[in-house]
Amino acid sequence: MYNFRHLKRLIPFFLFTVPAVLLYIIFIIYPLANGLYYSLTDWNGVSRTYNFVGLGNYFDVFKSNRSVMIILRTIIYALVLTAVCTVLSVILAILLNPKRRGQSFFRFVFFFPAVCSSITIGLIFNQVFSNLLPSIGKALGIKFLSASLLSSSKTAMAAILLINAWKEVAIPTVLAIAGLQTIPEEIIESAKIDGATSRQTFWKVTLPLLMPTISIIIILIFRDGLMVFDYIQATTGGGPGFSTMSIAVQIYQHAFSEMKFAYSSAESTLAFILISLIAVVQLKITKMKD
Amino acid sequence: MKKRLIVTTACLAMTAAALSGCGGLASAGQAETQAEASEASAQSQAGGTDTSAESTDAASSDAGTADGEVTLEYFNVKSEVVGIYDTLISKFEEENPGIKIEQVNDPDPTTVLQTRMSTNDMPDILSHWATDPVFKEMVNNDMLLDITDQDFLSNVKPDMLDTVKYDGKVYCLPISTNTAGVFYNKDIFDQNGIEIPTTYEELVNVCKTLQDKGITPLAMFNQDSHAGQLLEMLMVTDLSDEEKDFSSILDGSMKVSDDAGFKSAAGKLIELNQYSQEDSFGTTYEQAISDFANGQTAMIIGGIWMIPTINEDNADLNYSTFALPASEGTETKVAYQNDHCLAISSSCEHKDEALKFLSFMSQQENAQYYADNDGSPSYISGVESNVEESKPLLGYFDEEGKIAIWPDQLWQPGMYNEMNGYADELVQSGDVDTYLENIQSVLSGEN
Repeated sequence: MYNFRHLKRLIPFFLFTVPAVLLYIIFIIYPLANGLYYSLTDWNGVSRTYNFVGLGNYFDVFKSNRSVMIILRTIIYALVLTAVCTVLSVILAILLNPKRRGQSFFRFVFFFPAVCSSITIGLIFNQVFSNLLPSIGKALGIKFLSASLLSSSKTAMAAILLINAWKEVAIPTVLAIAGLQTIPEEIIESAKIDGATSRQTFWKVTLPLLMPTISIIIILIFRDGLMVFDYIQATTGGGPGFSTMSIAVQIYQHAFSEMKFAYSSAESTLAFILISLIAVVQLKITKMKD
Repeated sequence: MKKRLIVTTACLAMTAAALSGCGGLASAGQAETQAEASEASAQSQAGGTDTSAESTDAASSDAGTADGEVTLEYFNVKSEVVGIYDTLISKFEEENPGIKIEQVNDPDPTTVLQTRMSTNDMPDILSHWATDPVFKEMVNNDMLLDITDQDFLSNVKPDMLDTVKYDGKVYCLPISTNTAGVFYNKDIFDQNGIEIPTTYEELVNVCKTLQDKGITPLAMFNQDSHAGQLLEMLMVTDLSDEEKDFSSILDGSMKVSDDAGFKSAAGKLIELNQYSQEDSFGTTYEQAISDFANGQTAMIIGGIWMIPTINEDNADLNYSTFALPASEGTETKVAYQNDHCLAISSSCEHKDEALKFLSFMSQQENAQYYADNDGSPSYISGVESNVEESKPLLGYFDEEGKIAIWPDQLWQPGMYNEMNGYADELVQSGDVDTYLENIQSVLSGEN
């Protein structure tokens, strides 16, 4: 009796979740399942017929030297991006936290990239790197800047990291500011009273208390770094050569440019597993820190 | 009660807003939805093709709107001839009231087309390359209308029509062949007393002479895979038997290292890139053509499909072409393939109207207009080649064994991208051996 009435009350709440669940199933669960199905075939993305090949595609991914190299390169890119952006966002948070003149303005300026679409940012920076910077470099006689940084296989990935970092610090900065504000004033004051310098206060008091926030920031940035796609697609498309190829761009090109749709589905399933594993590991680490 | 009313109205308003977002896509311009489709497909990963299908479905449902009037979509993959088609389509619409043709030309058209192929959303009429591996896929999957019995095919030169038949059936109206060579600025050559080189070694000397005089010899558009294209032209001159080589490497009976032509072609690519403008990898196709047309470089190596663009950039340019010469002692050949053909999709709802357009394009006067502006040899009988600039290359078509098909037509669909990527790497690193290993794994399917 009690259970029935309880459930009846909850029906409206369930009904409200139906649209969201439906959309989630149609646009996320269904393509996922579809992709898994195709990854077990040899479909090239276009023809009307295909065969089952079981796990053959998965083995092929590991056999391919180029795929392994691209996975490694993407992981390194994600690591560097995480290190750079985490440090930058913490610094920015410390600078933007205390009340000072122009606080709202500067907070807006640094948060603004978060609301821009990454493709738009990529396209604009493409022009900056291809035309604006080389013009400046030529005018000032700086050899390093005279050629587009995106057109050399040695510097292209670094340039993309720069574009990525420009947007990537926005939300972590906001999170870090929020994290700083949860630190009670009394602790900082008592540290000062005990004679700690600013630097000691930061390293021994602020930072440890900020760790949970920093852990979340690290997870967010690392995952974004692993899935980097928009900035590459808007600028170099994986080139020159394959120097800016990431896992996501590779998957896209295999599916839509190289007619290897089933192979690409296998790659994306593996990428999904990789990212999930990393997320699980990071969650375990943050739980330990708590 | 009042609360209920407010809540219900709010929910209905939200639903209406959400649905109008879907409907809004259909009324946006065709080109916009196509661009959104390519953007959407760029943003979604493999397996998430639903978003692009949504917007292109809305676009194609526009066909056949106004009463009695038929609107056909013409998906043109060849951006150089969009202007030519604008004129021809206006003429066609005048002669055929009641039929409207909308030309669509997207950036990255081949990828957009491939997405549409896999979502069964083929355009009514499309242009393509009749011997391309992707075209073969479309034929094999019954995506194109069989037009073998159409009367207007009698306008096509018979032996040229045979080259685009599949199992004796015709799936497209072939319009033009292309070829490629070295475009050179006649004024620069005359002013510096340079003669047209007849061997590869002479070409390198010409480049050295120009460079010493402070003139940039070659314009390279390495950002848009010029390396891969130039390498294919070098393969045509350097490989001993191109067709046999590739079919043997593809089926595994031969290795890349068995023909020294691959190594020499790779070496030549590196050498020629030394004479290009600075930052060739930051130069796009359009920019490089513009540089040549405006006299900033003496030469540009590429296909005669560049002619319309060169003329648009600088109608007064005094230029011509010569074949990319082979090394001393080897015969020079030029690359060719079907450059442009028109096909109708098997799912087109207005086949008669679409066939009328193909018939129109097969008329001698229209094909002549196309040929005059495009510069490529035509498949249509009675069409004369009036473009002086491409005549030196067209001479090779009249002699036996002096033309060879573009290597990428002999590859599997999809290999083209990877081969281009490795060609880029070759130019950046200068490492020939790694390049040869890489293309071996691509061509043999081991990658």
